[in-house]
Amino acid sequence: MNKFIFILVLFTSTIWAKEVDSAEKFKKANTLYEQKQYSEALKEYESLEREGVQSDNLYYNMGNTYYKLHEVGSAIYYYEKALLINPELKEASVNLKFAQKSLEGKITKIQKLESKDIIYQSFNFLSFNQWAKVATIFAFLSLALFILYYLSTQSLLKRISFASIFVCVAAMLISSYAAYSTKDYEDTYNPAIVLEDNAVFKDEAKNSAKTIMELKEGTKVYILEEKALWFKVKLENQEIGWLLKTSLRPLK
Amino acid sequence: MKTHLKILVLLIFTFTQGMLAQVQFESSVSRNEVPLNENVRVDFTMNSEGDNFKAPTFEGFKVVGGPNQSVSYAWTNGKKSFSKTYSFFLAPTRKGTLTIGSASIQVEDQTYNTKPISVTIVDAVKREDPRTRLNHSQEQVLNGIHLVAEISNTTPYQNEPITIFYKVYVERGSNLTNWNGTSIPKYNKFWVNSIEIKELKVESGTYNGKEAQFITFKKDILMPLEVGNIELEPLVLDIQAEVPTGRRDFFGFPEMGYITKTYTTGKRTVKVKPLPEEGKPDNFSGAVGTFDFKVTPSGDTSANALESLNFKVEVKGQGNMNLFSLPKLIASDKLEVFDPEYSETVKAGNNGLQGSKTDSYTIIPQYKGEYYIDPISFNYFDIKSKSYKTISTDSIRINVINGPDLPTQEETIKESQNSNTEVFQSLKTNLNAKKKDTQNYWNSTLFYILTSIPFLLMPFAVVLINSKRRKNSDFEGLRLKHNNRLAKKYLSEAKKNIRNKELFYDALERCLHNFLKAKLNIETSEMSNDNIKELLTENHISEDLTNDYLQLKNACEYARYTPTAQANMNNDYNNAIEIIAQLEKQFK
Repeated sequence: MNKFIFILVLFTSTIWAKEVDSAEKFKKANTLYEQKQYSEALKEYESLEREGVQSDNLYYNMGNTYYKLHEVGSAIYYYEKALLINPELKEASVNLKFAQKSLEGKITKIQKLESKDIIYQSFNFLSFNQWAKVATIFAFLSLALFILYYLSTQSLLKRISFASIFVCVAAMLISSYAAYSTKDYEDTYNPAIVLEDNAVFKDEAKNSAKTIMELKEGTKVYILEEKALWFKVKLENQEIGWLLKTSLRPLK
Repeated sequence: MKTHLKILVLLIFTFTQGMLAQVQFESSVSRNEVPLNENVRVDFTMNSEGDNFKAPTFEGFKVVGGPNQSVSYAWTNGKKSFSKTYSFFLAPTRKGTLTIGSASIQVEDQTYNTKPISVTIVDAVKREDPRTRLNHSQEQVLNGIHLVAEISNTTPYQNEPITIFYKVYVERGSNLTNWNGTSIPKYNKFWVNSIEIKELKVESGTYNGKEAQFITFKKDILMPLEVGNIELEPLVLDIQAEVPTGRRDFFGFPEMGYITKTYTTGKRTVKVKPLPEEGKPDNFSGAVGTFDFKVTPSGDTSANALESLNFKVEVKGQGNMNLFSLPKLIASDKLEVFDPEYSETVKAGNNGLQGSKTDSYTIIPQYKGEYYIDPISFNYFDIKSKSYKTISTDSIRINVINGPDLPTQEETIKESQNSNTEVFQSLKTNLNAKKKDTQNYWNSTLFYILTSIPFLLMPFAVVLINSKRRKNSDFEGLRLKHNNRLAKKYLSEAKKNIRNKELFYDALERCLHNFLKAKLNIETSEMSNDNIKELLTENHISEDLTNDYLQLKNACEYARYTPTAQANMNNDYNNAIEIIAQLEKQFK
């Protein structure tokens, strides 16, 4: 029994210690950065990342470190990663622009709103889990209205509650759909950053295929599907082609 | 057999001998060793009349005389001998062993060839021929003639046009009558544009400080394609000059003769400099010179959809006009831009090629709106300032007034640039690590259970409420409800006729009767007011209700025969329901 308690205590303390440890490491890496020892700082940040720490600030700091090391592609990768977790991180978007400025041959962005994009944008103010919760709430609300309808003797009240049941059921279905489409969209939204300079953007998933263009390091692409050694990707100018898996790194 | 063969061999032998003896065709040279500056005679002799004499090509020689033909017939002792000779005088052009090829002739369908002869050409020997020796005055005349290649710029940049003039200067006292080009230079590493000289003009100028007249007889524009020292081959001319012979004619004037002398310009070297790397634009067009660049709309820049708009992209100036291409016009992809029509007016001038090159574009807008033609820039290397220059045009706005709207929501997003006030942001200090939320509520079993529970509960709620109602029951309420329903059933006929007064009251009265008949088991004949009152009292019906019933019944009878207000009909109907319900309640 004693042994068990001891193990338990040890276990919980390691969990607790781990958090403190991470914060400590982060601080240490930041000091290294301030001392301009960028590659050492980067090692610390990377070990934190390997431990599975998910933090917008960690990614942002890594982006800064890569930027200072003149590895613009990786810098862009980490800024984008930070922005993926926290789109409101203003520092990351500012520094991202700095990184992109030094990038040559930038691709013009062309936005093409398909119906699913529009649906996503209109539902995006709640996450898919929140939408699911809303759906459950509406389900209970419709039960309550049903009971009210059944109990009431006044015809006006009866009428109102009867109509409200339908409204609630419809709202429940809509929020379920919103949850579904938001999740679906987020699953298919799979951005990646090209980390190889002059990566060949091919017509087909073959080495012998025609090269459409060469992509610069740091170019943002969206993965559409996977095939052996290749990713089918879409560029920001809506062009679609194939890239070798080794030449890019997904943000997710 | 053997003897036959012998005879045959003998016969063949004698015949062929005879044929060989018949036609002889030979070549011979006057000497086998020839100095370079002397001539050699070559004779092709045949002893029979032939056709189709073909002389060899005489490689390595220049034919200075011939072919001369000589024919001789001779009769000696009644025997005819014939010989015909073709003679050529050849001047060797190079040293070494040269071979005179074989000539051929056809005699009676037979072709005869001579053997090739080798001739050794040795160094030129100095020869003082008293007849051709020039006297002092003749030499002076020849020395007063100069053949010169003048190059406008011997250190040009790559692609920079230079002009080369070939001139003959003739000093005073000299005269030239004719010339003949023997070697005209080919320019291998240049792009050449020859200027045709239509009329030779005698101009005056100076040569080495001496007054002289000159003729420009050849003008070329050269654009060096390679960098480095490039040698230009010399131009060689045979010039015939008029010289005094030293003799005098009948009248005492000096007699003039003609003499030909070979002149050469000598080799010239052009040092081609590479274009400077400093400030060289990435997309350098290759144009070198001085240029002007314009993009002009020809006509209006606003139109309706599907009407054409015309734009001109034009480069004007002088330089290597033909060695660069015009920049392309790029417009919004919503506009249909057709391939341009190219035209040029380029003339060769003293400073290279000059003129203009034009691309005429036709643009047909498809949709309504405002579009822009991207700014176009043209760069060139300016010779005067020795630097690269770029001319950029403004973007041109195209306004499409009428037409269909753009069908897609595609739009180009302008990248926002960092404003000057924005600076590189520093590190974040707090590690706000986020737990990965692996638990999704959406699509989980919990979600499905919680969301479907309310709907599963609905039937239970109905059952629950009903059973509870029955239990606590206001029984009364239920009964009342039941009776009301019964009364309504009785009154259904009356209700149907609520619009028609007579029928309504008739029905209402009959209803009241029927109700009592059913309850009290009486006949219609027994339906007198007194009788009813008695029976109701017997059945413990309250007096008030009995009175109400009778009052209504009377009202019905009364209404059937007298006009009353419509409002009473509804009133009476409700009254009837009330009364029947009450009666029903009290009967039990």
